[in-house]
Amino acid sequence: MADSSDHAAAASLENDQRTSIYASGYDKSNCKSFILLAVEDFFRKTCFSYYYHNAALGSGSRASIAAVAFDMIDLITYLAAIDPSGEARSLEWWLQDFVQKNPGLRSLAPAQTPDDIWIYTKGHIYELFCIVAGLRPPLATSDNPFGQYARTKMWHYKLPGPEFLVGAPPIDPESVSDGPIEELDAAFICSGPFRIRFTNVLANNLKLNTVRRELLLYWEDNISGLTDFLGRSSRERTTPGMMDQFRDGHVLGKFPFLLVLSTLIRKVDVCGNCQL
Amino acid sequence: MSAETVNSELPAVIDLFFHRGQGKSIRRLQTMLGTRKFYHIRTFRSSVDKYFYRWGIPERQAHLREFRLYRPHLAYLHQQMMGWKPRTFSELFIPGYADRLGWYTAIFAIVFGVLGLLSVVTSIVQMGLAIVALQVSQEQLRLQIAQLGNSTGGP
Repeated sequence: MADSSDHAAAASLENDQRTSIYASGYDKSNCKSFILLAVEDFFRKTCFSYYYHNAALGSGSRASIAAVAFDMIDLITYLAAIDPSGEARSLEWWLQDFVQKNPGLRSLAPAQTPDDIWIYTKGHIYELFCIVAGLRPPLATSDNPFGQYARTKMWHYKLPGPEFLVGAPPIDPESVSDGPIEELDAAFICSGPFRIRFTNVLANNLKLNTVRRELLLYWEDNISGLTDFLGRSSRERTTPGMMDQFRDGHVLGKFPFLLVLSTLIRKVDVCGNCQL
Repeated sequence: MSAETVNSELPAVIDLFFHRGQGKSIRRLQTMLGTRKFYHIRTFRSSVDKYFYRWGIPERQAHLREFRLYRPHLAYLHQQMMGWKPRTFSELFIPGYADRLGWYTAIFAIVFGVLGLLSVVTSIVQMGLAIVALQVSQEQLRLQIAQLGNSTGGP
């Protein structure tokens, strides 16, 4: 767990966003900076919230960023060891197995007993998974402080498998027979009842909402830049697209994470938070 | 795992949706993005690239066999599009994807039906007005006759 110096650093992080590890200091065009941005955002905005999983992380003191980062490294190591040709199991199963095999996670409060550790930590472990897997963590809103909706949606996704990238198939893939799809043209679709709306979540690509008559299409960077600048396209790239990460490598694709992790650990060292 | 397949199928999906139809879909995309400039659309190759690399880029067909991971999604979308039916009165005026000719025929029939109904109503009103006019003219004639009788029956 963290000592008093960690708490001092944590307090300064919480109070002053312009610290030495402020997220805007990164080269956002580098797709590998995504995980660093995600870790820092998670640590600054979520992890220090009093109500954030205080049963698992402790209500009096919180772990330092180094402890959280090393737990993520453990999780990456665990996920990378999954046999791609092995039996597909739900995310919940894998994460529970991870917690059971790693009872001494550094970011957790020490009072956890092996029996109830999973009950209290599952939400926190899921957040860590979202970050290390390159997925967008569920957005916290005032109505939904910890993104519970998205969390419950992904528990049943299977690993290893493409579900985290393409979402759950809307119909049984075995029942689909070959055939022409000439009608799937944007102009034709928009001329009828359905509308196309962009999403920056890869797993939502081609998701159809028949009630709202809305088809989601994956589109990132351009649209996020456009909305940031109120209709004017940004010349500068915004956060790296998820597909850029997958192109360069990804933990779900057995990416050697050493480079990213060494950068992360270096950053942790710079902060003076690393106690390991 | 499947990252490479997703990586290859995403541009294929964009091609499928926006790169056919003689630029109509590209214009739709530009409208959706709020831009008229092609350099703002960076994620997939533009028509200029397509012109230069037209020999090098294999053309994909709009067919489900071209897709592996997005195949159920596209099949479901296709199925929902083709099976869409209006459920409310306002949805009657939205053209479905299947049997557009039937929709246009129905709208044509509805327009002519409404026009016919209007003409019937107009005819009824016209007839009512004609009856009123007839009654007025009859009354006028009766008054004229009465006036004429009074003037001839004098000293």
